[in-house]
Amino acid sequence: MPFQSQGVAKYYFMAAIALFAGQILFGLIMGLQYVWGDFLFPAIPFNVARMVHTNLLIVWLLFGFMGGAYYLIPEESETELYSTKLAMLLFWVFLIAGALTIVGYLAVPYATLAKYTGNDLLETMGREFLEQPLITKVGIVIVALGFLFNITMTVLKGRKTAISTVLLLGLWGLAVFFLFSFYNPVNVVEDKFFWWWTVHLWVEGVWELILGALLAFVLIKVTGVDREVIEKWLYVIITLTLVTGVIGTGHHYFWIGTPEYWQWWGSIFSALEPIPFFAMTVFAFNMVNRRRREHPNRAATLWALGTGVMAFLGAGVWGFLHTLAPVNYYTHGTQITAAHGHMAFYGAYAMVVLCMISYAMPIMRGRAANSNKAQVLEMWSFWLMTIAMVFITLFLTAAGILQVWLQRVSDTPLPFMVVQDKISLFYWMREWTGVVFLIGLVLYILSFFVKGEEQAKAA
Amino acid sequence: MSTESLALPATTGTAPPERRLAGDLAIWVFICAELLAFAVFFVAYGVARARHVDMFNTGQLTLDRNAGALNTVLLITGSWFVVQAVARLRGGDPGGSAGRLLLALACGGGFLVVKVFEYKAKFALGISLSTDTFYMFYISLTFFHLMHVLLGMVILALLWNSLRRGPGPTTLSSLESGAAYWHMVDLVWIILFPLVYVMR
Amino acid sequence: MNAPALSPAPSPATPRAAHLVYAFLLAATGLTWFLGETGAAGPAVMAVLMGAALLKGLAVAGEFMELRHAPRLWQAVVAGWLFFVTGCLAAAYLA
Repeated sequence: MPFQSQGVAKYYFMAAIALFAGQILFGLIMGLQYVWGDFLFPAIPFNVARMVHTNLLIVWLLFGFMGGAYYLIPEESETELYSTKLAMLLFWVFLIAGALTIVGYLAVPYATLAKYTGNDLLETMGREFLEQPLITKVGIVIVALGFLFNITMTVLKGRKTAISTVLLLGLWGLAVFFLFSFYNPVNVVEDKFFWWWTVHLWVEGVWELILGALLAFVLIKVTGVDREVIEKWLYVIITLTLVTGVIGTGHHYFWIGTPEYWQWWGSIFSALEPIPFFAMTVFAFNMVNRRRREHPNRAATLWALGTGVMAFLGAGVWGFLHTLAPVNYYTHGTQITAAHGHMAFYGAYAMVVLCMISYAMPIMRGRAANSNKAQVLEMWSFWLMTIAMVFITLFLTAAGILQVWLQRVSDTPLPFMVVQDKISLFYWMREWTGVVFLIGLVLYILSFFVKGEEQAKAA
Repeated sequence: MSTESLALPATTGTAPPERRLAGDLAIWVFICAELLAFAVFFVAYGVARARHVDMFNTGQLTLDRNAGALNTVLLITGSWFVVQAVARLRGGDPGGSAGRLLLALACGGGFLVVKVFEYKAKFALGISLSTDTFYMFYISLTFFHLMHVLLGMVILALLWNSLRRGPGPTTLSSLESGAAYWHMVDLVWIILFPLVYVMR
Repeated sequence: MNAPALSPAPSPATPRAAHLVYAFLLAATGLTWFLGETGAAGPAVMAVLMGAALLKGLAVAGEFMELRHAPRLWQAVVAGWLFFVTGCLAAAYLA
């Protein structure tokens, strides 16, 4: 590892993986609650399990992004981090705040939590994905500002590259759009309108810049392809991302009371959102095919290619499936959405963080790559998790198609809960596939503890 | 041949080696994406028109065809200057090339001015995105295209600046890439003008 | 006529073909404008308009964007786009 201060990333990565495990456990709990309604009731009701599942996802990805940035920025800038102490302080603040929030969700009823955390001062709670108490939201802003200050100062005092610029743009955008979580108009249309500015402009906007930058960084390192070539692709990809993603916000404005032109704008521009993901896949494979060196860390290369393909399938193809207004009229809020959400988050964001961890962790532990044995185990975990996710997505898609058919298209539509009963077979299959995913995750974690004979030389 | 560094592997086997794409592969990927975006927009227009033929014909008659035709002339003249700029740089005349880019920029500027007056007249009548589906398409399509003209002008201005400061080894490739993008903006308008302003 | 333009060696003047294409584009734009002014309508006029747009597009792509000298795949992509778009529009008009 060229710079000592990159080492702070290790803490962020470890926290990310721990929270990832938590996310999967709660995913399994609520997956079971789909078919066994009072499982763990009243200790963990479905709505709480869901909240913990999605919030943990966001938090562990944020830990991953921050860790990735702390690792990437000093190396790109060719200078030590502006302040290692600040990075460590913020790590503990964020981890403790995150943990307390989860404990709050689980320990007390949500309304009580809202009362004790000052929700009546500024009402921000109770909205999907932005359920965090006010103090947690303020904490997130403080951590984000400190983090951005730290890495921006690092970039300013060092070399400026396209990758660090794109990463900064993405991270600043992440912070700026989070501010809309504090804006909660009484008018429900406006509420939803701006709610998407955080939710959509994160995952289909600025997060994609972070994804592109992290992927480009790892590809430069493992392939040795010229920086100029990779940067050119990065610029093309982020421009396409921003044009399609920002106007594509319209695909959430079909049925919430916004003017009709959003149906056209949303359909047309979001139909094009697969393009940047496709470009990313072509880019990743193209760079790996033209590699100038055989990097000993084959697992990291596998994750890099995997994230290209899975992001294209999950975010691109499964997004396109239900993005056109006439289709979405039927599929809105069904299991089709859940299918898309699972594969997109895994393919685009979970995998790119795991890719970054896979590349950086061995180096931070004093070797260019893990032993062959550890890498083989890691690749097993890659395939188990990825294939499990493909099947989770397929089962949910099947459930969704049936749901749309029985509940909405049919001449004699059935009630929601009746339909849920009829498609429970797919929920069972999804649950068992989820168990396979968990096994993959366990193998992934074990791969960090596998020692091997032939340890590669220290980087 | 700077595009080589970006060429996709092993797909060029069918083409004779002397054939080459003017400009960088990355910009061509970008152009393809743009063309796809406009194709989706155009086809959506066609489908919507087929469902509301009268509404579209009525709305179309209120458009300023002279402004549309003038803008077509401005764009193709701009493209013609850009072609000359590329030829001059290849001929080893960066000064002349920069001059032609300025002329092309002037054409782009003229396009913007005409468009502003055209929009002003329409907005003064209270026409907006919500007036009806025809005006929704008219405003959206022309505005989306206008953004491309602006981006093209920024690219041309950057190229002009780099020519003025003295061309380097990659300037020609950059100019070719920028030129290809500018022509794409032209190409799209060539469909847009008859479609939105004339065809009824 | 292809060979000199293909070589990276400098060719000082703008190709004559580019000027011809420019003149053609102006003429075709004039025709489109004229048809609009006379208020002509109907399938035949539509065919002329889309045909003119197609030819103009092919001229811009071939000569200005220099696809005439580019690998066939790229020619096919842009020409295919033009045929696809004008074809769809014509079909939607007739539908």
